[in-house]
Amino acid sequence: MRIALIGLDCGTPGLLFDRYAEEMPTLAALRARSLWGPLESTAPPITVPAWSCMLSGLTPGELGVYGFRNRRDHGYGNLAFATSRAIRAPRLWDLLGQTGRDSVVLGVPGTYPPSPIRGCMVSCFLAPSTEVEFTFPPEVRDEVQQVTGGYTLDVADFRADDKARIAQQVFDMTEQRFALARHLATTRPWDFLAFVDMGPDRLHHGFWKHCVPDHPKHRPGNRYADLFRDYYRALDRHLADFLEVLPDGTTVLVVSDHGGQPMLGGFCFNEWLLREGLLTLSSPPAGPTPIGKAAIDWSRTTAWGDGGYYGRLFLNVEGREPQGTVPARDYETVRDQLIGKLEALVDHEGRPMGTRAFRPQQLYPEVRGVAPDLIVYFGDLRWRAVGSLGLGQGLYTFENDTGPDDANHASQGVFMLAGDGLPSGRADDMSIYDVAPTLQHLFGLPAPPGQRGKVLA
Amino acid sequence: MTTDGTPAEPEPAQGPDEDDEDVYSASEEDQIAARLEALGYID
Repeated sequence: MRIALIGLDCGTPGLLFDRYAEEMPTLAALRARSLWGPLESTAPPITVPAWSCMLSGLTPGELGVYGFRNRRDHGYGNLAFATSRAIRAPRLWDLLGQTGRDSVVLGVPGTYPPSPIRGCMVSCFLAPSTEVEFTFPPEVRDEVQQVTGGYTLDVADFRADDKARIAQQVFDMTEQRFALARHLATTRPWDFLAFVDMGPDRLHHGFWKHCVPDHPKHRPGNRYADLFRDYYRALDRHLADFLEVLPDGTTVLVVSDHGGQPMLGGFCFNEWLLREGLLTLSSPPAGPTPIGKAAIDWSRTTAWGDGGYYGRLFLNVEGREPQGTVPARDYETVRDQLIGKLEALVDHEGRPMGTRAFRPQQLYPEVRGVAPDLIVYFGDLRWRAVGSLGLGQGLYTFENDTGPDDANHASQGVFMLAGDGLPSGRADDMSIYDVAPTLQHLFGLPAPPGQRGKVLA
Repeated sequence: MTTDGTPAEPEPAQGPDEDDEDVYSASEEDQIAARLEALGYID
């Protein structure tokens, strides 16, 4: 058995299966012989931890990783980046290595620093630069640099107004990633090859409103209106070139970690907590101030939030946080009250926002590390959570308070699995937790403890 | 939560810990944070 996993970060069902399907003949032909459909992502649907969840079969709660930065302890502000070292569970390449099989891993989020595997690994966009040791074995670095002419970890300076430069870098990064995948596929021994292209994610964040009419700020005929179409045409050509070099009989999986959707605006999470009397400052912010730098009077604070594509709400609990104010016996009552308030939020026009707030314990079979007390999807992720204070725009922001961003994540990604003797056709009940059990099954590996996903094929 | 209603202590077996401090230098951490903030991941 030989399997090639082609990861498209933020690959979105509505774009790949519908809107641009006719522009992508290679993907369409692959889909025609695949088991395919939308793939329910992790909660929250965030790149880190989603790829690690996909390839370990475990939830963010079991991994103890809830986003790019996680609280290291219950102090105020002691955050740690979720690097590969935070992922303690074996991922598929680890299991294969234990049975003497080789893997090539390229750009899969959650792989910096690179770890020793049987095969080779080029780590992900969380590598600080290509000056550091970002490959395993280390000598692969020179080969990668030579083949690519300088490996692109990610699009640089993404939050900028020079859209033409950003678009070009996204196209170039995708071309380079597929070219390197082709090189590694044809020069290394492998049973499992997994690579992830971040291009779709960067493209969606940078250009959704230009390209997709479902964004409220879409203007037909704008300069970049055809950028998504052109990008997906190019991606399809790269896909064709990659499939061409795969040995006969290779099983192919095209998969994404989450989808995308238009972002309507930002909800000022901590500004709202201030107004609710749940967050108290010792002095007002002089201007836009990240919550981590705000002068918080912890002795009079019930809750605070971290922003991003989803909101993380933390309660200031007696005996847990250094200056906790919520008695432990009132913890669930306060949490329930907050869920009620959050889910009753209205948008800037007074309409129900459709916010959902989750207790980690209801999402995960185990909650490890320091989880948020509530995971909040403002407007079901159509609004992002703005953690900064002092923006002076009330509760809702629509412009570039932290830079342009057109898209938020959505809970459904894509799945297409094609191989000799495997079933084909559409399925609508697939989960990101099914990926690892399915690939393990195809490789004849037993399921490690804790996995709850099902074998799809 | 524990049975008496108090929040449980965090489970240390997974997630970030002291080992992670060695991964990035302070300047690299700033660089990664800026990249992620630029992408909207962290606010």
